[in-house]
Amino acid sequence: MLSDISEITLIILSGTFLMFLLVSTIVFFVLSYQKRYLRHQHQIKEMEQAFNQELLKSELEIKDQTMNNIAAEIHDHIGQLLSVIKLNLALNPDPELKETKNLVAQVIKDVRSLAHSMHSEALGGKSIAELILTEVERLKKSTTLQLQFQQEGDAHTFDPQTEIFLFRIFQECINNILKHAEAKNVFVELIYGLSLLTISITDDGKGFEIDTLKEGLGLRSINYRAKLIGAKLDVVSSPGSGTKISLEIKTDK
Amino acid sequence: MLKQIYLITIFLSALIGLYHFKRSPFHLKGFALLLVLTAIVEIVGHFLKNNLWMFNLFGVIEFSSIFLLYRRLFFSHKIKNLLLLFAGVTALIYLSNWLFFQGLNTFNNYTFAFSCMLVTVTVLLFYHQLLNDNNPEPLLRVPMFWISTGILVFYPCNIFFMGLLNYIMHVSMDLAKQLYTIIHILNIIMYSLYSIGFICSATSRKSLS
Repeated sequence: MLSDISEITLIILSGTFLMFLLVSTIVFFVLSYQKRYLRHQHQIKEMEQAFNQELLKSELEIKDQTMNNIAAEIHDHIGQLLSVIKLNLALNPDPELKETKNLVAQVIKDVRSLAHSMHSEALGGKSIAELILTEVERLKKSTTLQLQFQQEGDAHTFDPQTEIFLFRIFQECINNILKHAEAKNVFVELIYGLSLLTISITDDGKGFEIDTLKEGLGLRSINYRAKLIGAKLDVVSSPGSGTKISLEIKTDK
Repeated sequence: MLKQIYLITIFLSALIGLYHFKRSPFHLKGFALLLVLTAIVEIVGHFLKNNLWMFNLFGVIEFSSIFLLYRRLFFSHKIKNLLLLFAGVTALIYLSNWLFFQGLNTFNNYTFAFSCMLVTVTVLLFYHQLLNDNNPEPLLRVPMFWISTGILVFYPCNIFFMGLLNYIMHVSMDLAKQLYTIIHILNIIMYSLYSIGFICSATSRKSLS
């Protein structure tokens, strides 16, 4: 009887212990397997993000380089041809050509301004407020958009790279308005706060559903550039009620 | 002493389950209710002289509920059907055991051990589903992982003791009482893990909101 009891006790205790050990192993395996799987997934996600960022960076570099090339071509080739035309016209004292001479002078000025706004190096040294104001003036002349510009607060300066990025974001926003918004009026506002610059671009165009919007290169580059300079981007839009894009950046940058 | 700790654990776990009841998903509500019923059965059973009929009746409710609650968590229709079959088979073998073999006043150890095996298979299938999830969440934040681990600790480890319980009681009642310590420890572990699961469900809701 006594050996029966000890045998039963041994069977039950060892059986239960072995089962507990097995269960613990299974739970441990499940946990560690999932941990490894999650880490792997995270790595893949990070690699994908890095790849996309690199791709976007290359796209932006190519875009910038193309714009620089076009700007140089406009400035050096078309600008030079226009200057030759202007010189030739100046040699002709005919008073009927006065209007043509003025128009050519205006075209030369506009072409130069366009080339400058396209070329990154030509933008250096100017504050974002000056750059935006110049661009607004240029757009007023060359497009049908009714642009209004307002600045509040004392202007701060950023490092040249940030100024160029901010300006490119502004250009991309205007480009989107011209291409897609079907807007008539655009209101551009720069508010210099104590530690924050807010740039907002509001249009009265057709707007869009933010959730269903597919990010094209334009919006992606806006997002990417904003991220690079540590700016906060906010897009408010709905069908039929225009779009407001706000960009906030700390002025101590 | 261990029995008291076990009863406190189950009571606390049921309270935690009920506290989060309103905002819990259906399956957690089910487990909370099952826990309340278990607590009632355990407390009533504690005071009854002959309580085996009650535990036998409760066994069929307990196992069928577990299968039916898990059934809601699976995506695969095959497994859903399998769990329906498990619930049906459990009820059927319990019923036949009451009617033709061990009756209601003897602990239905064979059916209990058999049902424990089916529950173990169910939990392992659930683990498998968790690991193959396309959008995996860290398991420690999944309430059902904790509950399933509790189940996996209790039921398979119980198979040896419960399977031999009638024989042990026949050989020595004292030994049966001593070995019951194992069941109490496993119960305490299981219901503590249930509590973690209920708390975890509340914290994961908070992090989502």
